[in-house]
Amino acid sequence: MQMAIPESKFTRRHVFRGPWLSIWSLALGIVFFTATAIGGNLNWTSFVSLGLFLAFAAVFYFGAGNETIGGLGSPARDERWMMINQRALAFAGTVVILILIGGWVVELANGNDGTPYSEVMGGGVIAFFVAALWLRFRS
Amino acid sequence: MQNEIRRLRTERGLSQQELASEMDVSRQTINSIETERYTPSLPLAITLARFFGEPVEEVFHADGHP
Repeated sequence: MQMAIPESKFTRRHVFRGPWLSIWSLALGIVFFTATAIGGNLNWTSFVSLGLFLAFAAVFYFGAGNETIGGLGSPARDERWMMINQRALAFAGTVVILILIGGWVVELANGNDGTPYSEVMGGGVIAFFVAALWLRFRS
Repeated sequence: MQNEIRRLRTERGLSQQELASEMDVSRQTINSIETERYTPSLPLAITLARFFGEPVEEVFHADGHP
């Protein structure tokens, strides 16, 4: 016997299945290009970078029918993709932390004050504790 | 976690894609559940069990737990 699927299926579909990653990539490319132009540093690499942002947006827009690209583009529509997204984000975050620590140590060893690595790491630590406290009181 | 999803699905003549559409997840997710590479959340497990008209404990079996 098959039963009706309850609750929020309709809502989740319509909230999370928009081409958000494509829009984000497109907006980031335009902001990057505009900032470069305002700074007077417009050259061929600016156009190449804009092209890469546009290509990224196009892949996620036109490839949304593919399960893997669709999952990467809007992971919140599927709980397994949400888990994959969170774990990939944690891995990427760990790599970034290791790079920051490495850069900080190199800066200190060169006789500098560790800037900007120390500020970025400080911001990251504060953000982590704020988020952990917030989530602890919400769950 | 062992489960009866593949058996229940094939008994009803459903494809993985059809079940995935009903559950609002990807086909890959249904495949991962059937091959026991992914343990679904409690809401999805309950929804799957309801869909097949079975108690959730008859659909999912926790290894090593009574």
